[in-house]
Amino acid sequence: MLIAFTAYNINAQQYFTKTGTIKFYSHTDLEDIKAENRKVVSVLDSKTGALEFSLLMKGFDFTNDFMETHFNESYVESSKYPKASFKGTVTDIATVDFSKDGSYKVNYKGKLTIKDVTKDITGTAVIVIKGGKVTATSALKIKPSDYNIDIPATAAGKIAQEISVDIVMDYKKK
Amino acid sequence: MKKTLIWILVIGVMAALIFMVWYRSVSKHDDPLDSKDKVILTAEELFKLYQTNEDSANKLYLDKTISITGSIKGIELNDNRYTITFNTTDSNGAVICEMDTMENIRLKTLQPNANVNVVGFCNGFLMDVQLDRCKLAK
Repeated sequence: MLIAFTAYNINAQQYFTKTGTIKFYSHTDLEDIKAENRKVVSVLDSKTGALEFSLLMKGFDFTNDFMETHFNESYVESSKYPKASFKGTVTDIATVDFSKDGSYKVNYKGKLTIKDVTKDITGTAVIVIKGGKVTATSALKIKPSDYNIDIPATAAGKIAQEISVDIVMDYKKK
Repeated sequence: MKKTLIWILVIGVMAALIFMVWYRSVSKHDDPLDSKDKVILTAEELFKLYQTNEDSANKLYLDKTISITGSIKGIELNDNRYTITFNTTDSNGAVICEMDTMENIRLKTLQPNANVNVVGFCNGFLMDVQLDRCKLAK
């Protein structure tokens, strides 16, 4: 399910970025794997709390090309499932005053889609307002098995059953 | 017996060295300039192809090495990494090339509206066509 972002859909109460960052980290006794995607597209509606983001799976940059190849070809099959997306809501957006500097802890819920599998997720985020800019950060745990990401037995000890995900979105008002 | 132990040690060290060289060779990212299968397009052509039919364009270009020419709309530096945005006739979309950090010195002098040729790997389309690990063509 692709989120159709176009500039025409973005109105004055919305904040937008094309350079959001999502990092994931897998730790096992045998191996640590890190990857980063720096071109995440996201929209946050300051009035309704509607929150969406979308990213290209091939945009994850690994320090090791070997791991990147396995990730794309075997685990997430990025040629077949090129994008991941989230569509949801910041449920307590009314507690955030976008007109002045401040830091706010908020809750969100929504649907995360990876490899054409959609799951309901919930989480917390921190929204920081500073000098008219809005930054949202959140940390999640994701199980690859929930999204049909099958880890072969030969790699089972090298990839964590639960992956840590860190999200940073630096929004600008459109 | 002593000779046997010495030979085992020598073979073991050589095997370790060969493994290290092999591991480093598969670990470093591919250089797009070394690709013999580059697809040559203007930024406008690539963007239009994706805008017209994303699925067809992905079949042709996803994960391929693309040599892009065009004029620069903007150059941004974030976390020591440059991104070049190419002009297209659609004001809502562009071709975005995240540059290899090895190019930072050469990129410092580039200005908007300059015509450049960049080679990188195509990651797909998300409002813009995204390429990464890009280098300036020699």
